[in-house]
Amino acid sequence: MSRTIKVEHLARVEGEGALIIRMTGTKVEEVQLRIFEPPRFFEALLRGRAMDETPDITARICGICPVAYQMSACHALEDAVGVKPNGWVRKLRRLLYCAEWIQSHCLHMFLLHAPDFLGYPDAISMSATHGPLVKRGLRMKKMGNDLMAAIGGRAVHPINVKVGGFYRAPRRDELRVLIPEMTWARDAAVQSVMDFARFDFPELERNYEFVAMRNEAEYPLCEGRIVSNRGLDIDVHDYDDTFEERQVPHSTALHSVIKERDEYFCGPLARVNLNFDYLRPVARDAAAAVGFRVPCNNPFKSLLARALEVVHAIDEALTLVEEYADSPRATAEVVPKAGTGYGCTEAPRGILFHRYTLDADGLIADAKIVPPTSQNQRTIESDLRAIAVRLASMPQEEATWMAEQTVRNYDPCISCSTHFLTLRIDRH
Amino acid sequence: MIGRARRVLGIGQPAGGDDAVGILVARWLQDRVATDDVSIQEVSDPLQLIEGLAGIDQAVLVDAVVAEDEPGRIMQLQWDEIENHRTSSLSSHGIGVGTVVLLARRLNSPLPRDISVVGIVIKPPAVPTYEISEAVAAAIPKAGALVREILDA
Repeated sequence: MSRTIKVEHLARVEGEGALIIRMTGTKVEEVQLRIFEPPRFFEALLRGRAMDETPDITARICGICPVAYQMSACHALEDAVGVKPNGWVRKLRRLLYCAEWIQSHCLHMFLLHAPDFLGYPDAISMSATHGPLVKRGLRMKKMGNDLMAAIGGRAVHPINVKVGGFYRAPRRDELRVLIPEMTWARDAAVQSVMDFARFDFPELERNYEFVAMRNEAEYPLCEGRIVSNRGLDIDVHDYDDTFEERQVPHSTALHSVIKERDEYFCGPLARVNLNFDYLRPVARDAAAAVGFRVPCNNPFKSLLARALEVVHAIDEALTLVEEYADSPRATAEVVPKAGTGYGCTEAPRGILFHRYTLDADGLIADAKIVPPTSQNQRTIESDLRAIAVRLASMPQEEATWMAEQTVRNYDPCISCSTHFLTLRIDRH
Repeated sequence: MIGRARRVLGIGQPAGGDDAVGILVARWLQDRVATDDVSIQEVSDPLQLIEGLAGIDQAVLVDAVVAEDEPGRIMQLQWDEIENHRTSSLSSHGIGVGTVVLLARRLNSPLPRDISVVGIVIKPPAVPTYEISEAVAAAIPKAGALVREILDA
């Protein structure tokens, strides 16, 4: 018997797109995650623009992870002109990135993904019986917003970031006023790990190649080598020699693969698997308390990885705020020159690669942006193939739910990697 | 209307072409109506509305609307028309304005009794852009004037 499962509008993902699974009996004929990809348009938009404009232009690609775009852009452009910002800038960038992880992860965990596990169609329905959980998530997210506003000038699309550093150094008291709420949020984040660990996680284990950044000093945010659990270990300058993007007919988003290998998995579960030893002790303790161990190959447990990263991000942010000292120099001097630069940072959803070529005046001659969702797209489709037998045995409504939940494991940011996502499961 | 806390919330995506219009109307109003009891807020993340709507007496939301109508047309919408739209095709956040207000109600967040909505008809952009169409640009002062009328009523 043939069957098609179709979701015309995939809800609770960032943006919109479509998913189609065609099956004959339990055999999967076709899986298509259909998405469109604005970063490609931004790459064209950037040509001829000044390097100074780039962090703010790319930040507009995504309302959820603007800092990631700013950070990858800044690192790539600084690489192109040979600038290395000072340690103070480095720490403030980590603090700003922590704020974004907190915001982005809390939105996904509490409002978009938790309803899947608790059996509700959305956060509104869920809040009738789980109001305190939703309120806690919103308060934690607000803490991230407030931290971002204190550093970045505003809670969405921060405006304080520049190539070389920051336009303005926040005052110490502007950050320290947030300490009480951050302290509350850290406890709330630990409690959330405990709460989420009680969810019923569907069985699915695959032999993934996890890809994340790693440096021998700390949990990765802005710097490090790109590594995997299968021996990949490259400098960001070798990205183009290692990864390739393939066109697929059903999507304008390119599928990113490791050359001569294939798909890979990036994002919180990959980071936790590859950098568990660099999670802050409070996060590792929370993992131990709920029996979360690495390697973890169940993509549904990305929720727990995300929750552990929130504990980590708040704890690290608290340390950075407590140790924060005013700086006489908020930025390095940047002199435009011709060159090509590479940058890769850990966006909330996974590695975000930028490459820019500048002319002698510092104008962008060429740009390449590879967002995490397009890197995970092929893996998402493979996950759906792996659960197809289960989907085939389910009633249509339940199968659609399970398929959507599987996609949401990756917190796909369609506004980064796509324009519209609409699931269709055809059963013949 | 002295003594009532009122707020204009302009909602939009700055890189969304005409979808930025709510923010642009808020900016137009900033120098014209902001007083001690009227504040203007730009909103790019709809979840900011939970806070933005809390603890005030009157709110005017300004947002882009996709409708079978001429771009630039201004409409004053009934609140229930918005509240029934749980998701907005324009939202890049997966959570629309109606969803957020429903969520705020469900969580017993304090909402103003008086919520008005000014919508400006747009065509969603095919690609991200900072440019807005002439028709929508021309609607900005008109929508701003309508907001002032609502505040003065």
